[in-house]
Amino acid sequence: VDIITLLTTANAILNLAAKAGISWTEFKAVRDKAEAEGREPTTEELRALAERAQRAINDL
Amino acid sequence: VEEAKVTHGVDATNVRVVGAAGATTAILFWILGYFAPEFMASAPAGAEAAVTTLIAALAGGVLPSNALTGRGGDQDGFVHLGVLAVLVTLASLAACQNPPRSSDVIGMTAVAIETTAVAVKAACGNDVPDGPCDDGALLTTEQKQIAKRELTRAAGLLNLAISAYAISDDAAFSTYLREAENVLAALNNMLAPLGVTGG
Repeated sequence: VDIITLLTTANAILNLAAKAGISWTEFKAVRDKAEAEGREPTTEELRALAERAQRAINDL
Repeated sequence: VEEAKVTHGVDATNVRVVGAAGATTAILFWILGYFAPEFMASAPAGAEAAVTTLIAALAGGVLPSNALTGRGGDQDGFVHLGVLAVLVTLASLAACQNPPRSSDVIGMTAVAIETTAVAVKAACGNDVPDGPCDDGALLTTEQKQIAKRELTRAAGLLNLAISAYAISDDAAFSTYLREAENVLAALNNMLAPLGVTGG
């Protein structure tokens, strides 16, 4: 295995994190904030997650 | 020289599949550890390595031969595995939590919709909304538009579920969420054989 292959693999993993992980991060942040404040996520916070998904659909 | 190229190609593909499986497993375990810590605490030692091997084997079985190395670039293959991870996680959460928190199910469904949309865009390669897919893309323009229509439908059902959640209408919430999940499952059944999402 050469260094280029390793770098390509590392780059692809980072891209996965960037593409598939952003929405996870957003969701986790909403959940963490609600939990820290001792409540469930609000409707507005959940709507914001749904709007993110809608924006991704609009790009298609 | 040709033999050396072939050998190198096989090695590189294997490295990528195992690397992708490792990344997928790490994300999966992170999510499961976050939402189901008690369940994950009971996992036997070596479970992560075992799941990595399983996902690598699944990737070899369900992804097209060019998913990790062919047209569209290596990154698309990793998006496919990301979608696979999301779907596996949704199924795992359904099994682990009894019952799952409503807000978590909403969040997970939103993530599943967004991740699928990202995978479809990567598989199509359209430059503008409603634009044509690249020549030789995994999806035709018509298939991409069908995916867009179904994802829009799922997002609409998700919004109805959120509205039901807001007024504590549990029956309507469950109905809309189940319909959204059915739409996503049917879409995945269409996309998986095309190599866009994991099976």
